[in-house]
Amino acid sequence: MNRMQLAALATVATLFTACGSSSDTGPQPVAIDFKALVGTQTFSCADTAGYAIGTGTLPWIPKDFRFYVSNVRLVDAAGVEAPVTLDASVWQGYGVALLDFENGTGNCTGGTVETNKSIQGTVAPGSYVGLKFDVGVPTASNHLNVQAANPPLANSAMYWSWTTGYKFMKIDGLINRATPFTFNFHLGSTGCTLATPGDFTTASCTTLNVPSASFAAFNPTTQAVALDLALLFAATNFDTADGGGAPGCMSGATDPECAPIFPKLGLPFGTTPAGSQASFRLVTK
Amino acid sequence: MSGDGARIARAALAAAAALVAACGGGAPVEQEGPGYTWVLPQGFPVPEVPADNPMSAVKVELGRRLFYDVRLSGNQTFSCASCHKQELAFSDGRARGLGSTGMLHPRGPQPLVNLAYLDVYTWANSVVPSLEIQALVPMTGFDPIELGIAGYDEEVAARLRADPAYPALFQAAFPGDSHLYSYLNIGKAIAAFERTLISGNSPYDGYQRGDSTALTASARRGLDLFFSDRIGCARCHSGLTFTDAASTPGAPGNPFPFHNIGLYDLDGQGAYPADGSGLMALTSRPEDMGKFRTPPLRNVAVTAPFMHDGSVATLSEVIDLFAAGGRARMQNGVPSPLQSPLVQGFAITPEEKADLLAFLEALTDEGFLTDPRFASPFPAR
Repeated sequence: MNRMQLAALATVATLFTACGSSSDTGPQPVAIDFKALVGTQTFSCADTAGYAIGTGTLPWIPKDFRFYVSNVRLVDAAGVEAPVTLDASVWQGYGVALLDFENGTGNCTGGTVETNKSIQGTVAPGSYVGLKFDVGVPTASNHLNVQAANPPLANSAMYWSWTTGYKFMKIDGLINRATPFTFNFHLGSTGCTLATPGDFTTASCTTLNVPSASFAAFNPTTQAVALDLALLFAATNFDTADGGGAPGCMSGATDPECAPIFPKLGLPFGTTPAGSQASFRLVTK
Repeated sequence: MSGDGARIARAALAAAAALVAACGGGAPVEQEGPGYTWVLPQGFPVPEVPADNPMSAVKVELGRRLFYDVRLSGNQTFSCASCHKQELAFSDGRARGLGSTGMLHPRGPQPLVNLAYLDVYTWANSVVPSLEIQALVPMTGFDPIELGIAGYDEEVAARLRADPAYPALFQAAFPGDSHLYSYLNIGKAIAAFERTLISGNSPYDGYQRGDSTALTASARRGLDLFFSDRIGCARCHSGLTFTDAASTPGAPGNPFPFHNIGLYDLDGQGAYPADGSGLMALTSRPEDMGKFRTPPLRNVAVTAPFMHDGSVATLSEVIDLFAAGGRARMQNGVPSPLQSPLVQGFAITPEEKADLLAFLEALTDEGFLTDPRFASPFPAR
């Protein structure tokens, strides 16, 4: 490799890493920013008047907005994927990062003051053009002893006690119907059983409900990944009374409120086959 | 009380206990377990305890306080005891529980009796393996919200830290722990207290221990019916705890003590109501529709209404629907296709039914319902 090639590589690496480091053959740092958007607005627990989204008229008032991301990969021009190794921190561990856009104010009770809006890690040296990631907690980490777990899985709000796993997404809104209603959206694996009776670390779930996102052209220096609630809930009508199952959608296989939401994440639901996710989009930082 | 007075009183108490035991009166006996002296009904084995949560007297006392403490709910209005009342064998008389924020639970609060011997703790969940993990369900659940403290970890810790009694109790129960007030430790302490909720001194137990007068003649006939092949109650309501969802300490547990008893068949395919589909809600397996844990039966007479949704008001009606081979069969004429083959129906005369009821009522352990060791440590409000 001559000096010019090296210089070119260094330039690409600089472009491609938020913190602008470059150079040798060691892993290169990578930072990926995330945003929580509601159409053109930025999600904020302070917006207690809510957002006009969905097909109805009642606003969706923020109560919570957190999700786990895992299996983060950068993709080079040839389509080869390079896994991003997440740095250890209170937001990252067990191969997952917790992105947290609520700050515990307004109606975001049970939340945390701290927020986390980016993923930090390292990737093998290379020239990358694209980004792929999954939403959720891989099965291998999804049935830890939560009580003994460390962050980001030591989180009683994200713990999904009835499956001894985690909520992959927790995006809850208050709907001021005649009787105020909390429209929960809790995404997680369902169809869970134990391989060894009495040992929940052997739990596995038949329906993983792990959405995937893929962006062929992504520049982490200039772009961020946005989860847009206006897209996620585009087909949801918050005016209508809950049709059964959990209040809102808690991933139940027959929960009617999941039917308009799951396809927006590219997940199959009932007779609707899996498609491409349509809720994450790239935005300028 | 001090000095000789105390010694004499203790000796008198010991003598009285020995006397009662000798007469077959069923006084509880002390049995040594690792780090803890259990007070157990005669004939009851020392329960198994998870290795990471050994018993201690101070942990049990801490757990009792937490069980009765409303600071363990988000809005500080509810405690575990709000839905688990001692005088009702720690059930609450409601068909469906009511959470701290007013949400109705799809199921009725279960009695908390002899949990230390059980393999399964809730109506329809096969993946919650311990009382420690189970405690997180009412603490952190959203559907329904029960105690409603998911994400309130730091606030709850602050409440407990500010209490005059808790810091010393937590430190003694969890020496050297750097996260004293974690949900982990709260769950462990509550689980330790719950393991002491052992009931085994009913008239039935007295009879078992040789006191032939402990049961009425009717209850004795009922006992025979209960264990008979014809009536078949004991096919599932078996053993020390009267459920197959339990196992002897040291023995492997029953991995699947869930049964469809034909309570519903809404569509001819065995469907239960959507908010009470049983184990299927967890496993998504169609064959798990309507399967619920066999409820333990000690103190059952004080735990009405019955079934997972409280849809059967009296024990008399419970017997009627089992006699009919399930409520679905009673109503539709044909059994649910998903019904357990163990529920076949039986003929029973009114006299026999009265005897069976007398036996079920003889499973009530009055001492358990009033034992001060299990009562609230807080002054009545």
